[in-house]
Amino acid sequence: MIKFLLPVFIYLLFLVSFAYFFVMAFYFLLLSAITFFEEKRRVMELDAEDFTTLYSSSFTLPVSVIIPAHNEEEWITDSVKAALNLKYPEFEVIVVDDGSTDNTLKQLDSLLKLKPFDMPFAEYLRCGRIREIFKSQAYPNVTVISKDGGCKKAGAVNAALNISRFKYVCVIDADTIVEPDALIKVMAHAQKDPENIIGIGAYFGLVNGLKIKDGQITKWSFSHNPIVASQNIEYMRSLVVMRTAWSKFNVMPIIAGGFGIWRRDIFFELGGYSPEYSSEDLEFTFRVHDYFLEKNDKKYKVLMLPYIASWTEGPSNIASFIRQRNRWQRVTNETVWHYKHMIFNLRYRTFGFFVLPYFLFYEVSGVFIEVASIAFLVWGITVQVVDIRVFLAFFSFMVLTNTISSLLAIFIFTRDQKVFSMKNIIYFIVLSFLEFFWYKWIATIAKILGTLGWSKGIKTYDQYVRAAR
Amino acid sequence: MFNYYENVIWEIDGALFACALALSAFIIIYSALKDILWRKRNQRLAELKKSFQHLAEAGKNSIKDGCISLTGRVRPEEFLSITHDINSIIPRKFESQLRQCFISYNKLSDIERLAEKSGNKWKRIQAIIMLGYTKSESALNILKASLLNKDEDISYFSLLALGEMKDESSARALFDFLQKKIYSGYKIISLLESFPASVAEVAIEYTKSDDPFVRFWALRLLSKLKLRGGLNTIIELTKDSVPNVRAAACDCLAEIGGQEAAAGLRQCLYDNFWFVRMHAVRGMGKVLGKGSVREVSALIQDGNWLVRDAVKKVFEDNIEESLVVIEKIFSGNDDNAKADCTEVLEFSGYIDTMLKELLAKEPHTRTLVLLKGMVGARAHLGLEWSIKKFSSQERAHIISDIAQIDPLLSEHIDKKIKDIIKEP
Repeated sequence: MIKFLLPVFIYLLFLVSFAYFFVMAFYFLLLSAITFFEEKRRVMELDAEDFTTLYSSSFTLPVSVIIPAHNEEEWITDSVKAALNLKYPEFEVIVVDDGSTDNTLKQLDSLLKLKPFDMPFAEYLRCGRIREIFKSQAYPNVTVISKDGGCKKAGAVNAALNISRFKYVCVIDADTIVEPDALIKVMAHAQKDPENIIGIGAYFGLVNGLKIKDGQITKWSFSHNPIVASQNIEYMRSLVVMRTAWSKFNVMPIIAGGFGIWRRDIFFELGGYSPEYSSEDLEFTFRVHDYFLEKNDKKYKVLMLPYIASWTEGPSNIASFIRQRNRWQRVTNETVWHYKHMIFNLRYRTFGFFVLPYFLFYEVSGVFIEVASIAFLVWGITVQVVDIRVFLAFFSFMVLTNTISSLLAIFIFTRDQKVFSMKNIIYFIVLSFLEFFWYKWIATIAKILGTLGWSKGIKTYDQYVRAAR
Repeated sequence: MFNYYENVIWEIDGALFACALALSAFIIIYSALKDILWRKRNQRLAELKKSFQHLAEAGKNSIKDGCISLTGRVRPEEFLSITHDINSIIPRKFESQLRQCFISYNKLSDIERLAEKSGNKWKRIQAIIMLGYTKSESALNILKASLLNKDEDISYFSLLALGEMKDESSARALFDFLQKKIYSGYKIISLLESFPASVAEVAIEYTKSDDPFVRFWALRLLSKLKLRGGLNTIIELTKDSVPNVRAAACDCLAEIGGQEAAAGLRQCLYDNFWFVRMHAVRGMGKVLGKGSVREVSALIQDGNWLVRDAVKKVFEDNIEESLVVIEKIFSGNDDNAKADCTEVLEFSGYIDTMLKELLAKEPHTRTLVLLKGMVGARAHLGLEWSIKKFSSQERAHIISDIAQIDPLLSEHIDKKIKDIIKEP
């Protein structure tokens, strides 16, 4: 019986897998085609924009920049300095020392000359116990909150939101170097329609290898570490190609915590970031879409801009990479499970039909289809049910579709933005051909571990050990 | 047994591999060419900017003579870059000559034709932006029409081009466009803010618009311009039927200042809407300074905490004048008002003055009344911090004064100062 069923099973699995990869390749090709035009449009918009008026006008919407930090003594100074270098008419910076056990607060004190400030604090958004609030003597627009840990990054951001003053907030990571013109480029869009623009994300690259001094990048020496370079390619695929295309139809599913701008009132409307998830950014963006689509609001917008706003640290070794992607997988599964009511639900329109199925079939289930297809084909070869040439043909198909998706992303990003040198671009191209042989499977291991972690209810915010600068 | 379509898959793989190689080669060649073109473009742009700078340095006659040939070398995309940077390239006094020169060379009619009809969207937008820069009369109608274009980019850059014109007609066009509510008031008014001060006359006209949204933003603009012209119109708007407009009128009057403005603000202190009252209180504080304390003091008992907060700020900024009022409140029955007054004493830093006064041989009666009021309000925040600044002998004196009012509290403060107990 098994001798009869096994070839049938392997054949069906093969057909399903091939169809899966074909559909995913087609989906990505479609998104690339959309982004091909949308990215060009955004870059042309940027070139033609009148930034002089934005810089000088008192009507340019002020922004609260929030930097949550937990044990970031090595990077917090550069990150805060970069924020202070922002060229924007009016903004405040709120740094949250979230229960750090290292010298993060000392570093902040040394840079900012902090003084305790007695101000009323109401916990509108859940954030945990506040130890002290400080005002900077050196920079009047900077406030530092020292609080107990325990509510993850979500609680840290919520604490800052509770005292933030302005209509829009910009959340960045503590290891992020924000570009001086990031706020003005992104807020130029919010300024047009603050009634309806709820959130804006922008591309951020990996800072690994770059030389930084006083919060500014002084040397553009991108890391040649293949783990880091492959992440750069992956960021181009997901942040530039996929999210820009989704943004065109207002179904952008994630404004990443590395750099994201939100209209402040939406946090208070929805209860702020939730510490109940392994990460806060994906779930909150889903919640925003759920909220507005449930109300049948057709005017709200969550945008993604394909130009560089900041640089953030990425994992530079396999262990750190797996740790990070493990957490990302957990939060993906948690979020898709929580918002499963939106899948193929007419009420949620394009989001329910175009984006959530992608998350379900690729981000959540895809890892199993990919592993199963390879595993069973290999098994099929060993029991002489499948010819090795079939396996090689199928494997080549997977490699090449992956390669082309990376190449398309590299082309679309580098076409209009001068960020990477020729050497970097050639390196990325070479890595694109090799990605499927190693990087893909390390990510797959992380995804499997993440899925196992999710099934056990693990929700920790695991910070990976970063490389020293 | 089963057909795995191996040959078909290999053919697909072959095509994909060829695509991948072609795409790789294309990316490399494209990037290399783009790098070269980018460098050449930047070099050219830098040279053009320098040439314009030299021309301007050489003086008016040189601009007249040399401008046309130089302008002839500028491509449309370079033009955008030059005009964005114009203030750093040539002095303002030569801008209009440069503009005339540009119009003469480029034949306005060609730019207008492109701005109206070009099939290439971004060429059309470039022409629209150029039209704004030319400030020609004929540009206005074209820009007004393209403002209403279905394409949001064409519409948006027409808006910016009108903002670049900075004259009365374009100001009217922008105010009229406000009514469409396509772009935010923030955006449109930020453009109008950079217009010459004469835009105030247009803004005053539009404060009489039927649309409250337009009235509101006209007032917001006037509050930035701070001109006294149209004061009566603005005072009238403190009685507008729409609360947002009334609040904006209060802000405007606050910026203008003067007794007449104060009279207008006074009308709004007891408005039905809390945010109108709040803006009126803030406005009074700004216009009358110390004199505002008596005007707003009754509102310390307002039902809305933001209004009370605004009153507290007035008290803090004018603490000496507020003491009489605070004293009266402490002798009353309103516990919330007492707690607010305690905060005022703390945030204004008056507690330190008060405690020093307590140490005097004959402290002022008011000081004792204020201390009793603060303690009675059960809002002793800040007392420990302030008391810690004194010597141990002085602390003992102050704590014994507090003990006469509330022995339990004095004991509690004493223990906190000595770190015997800590707040959770």
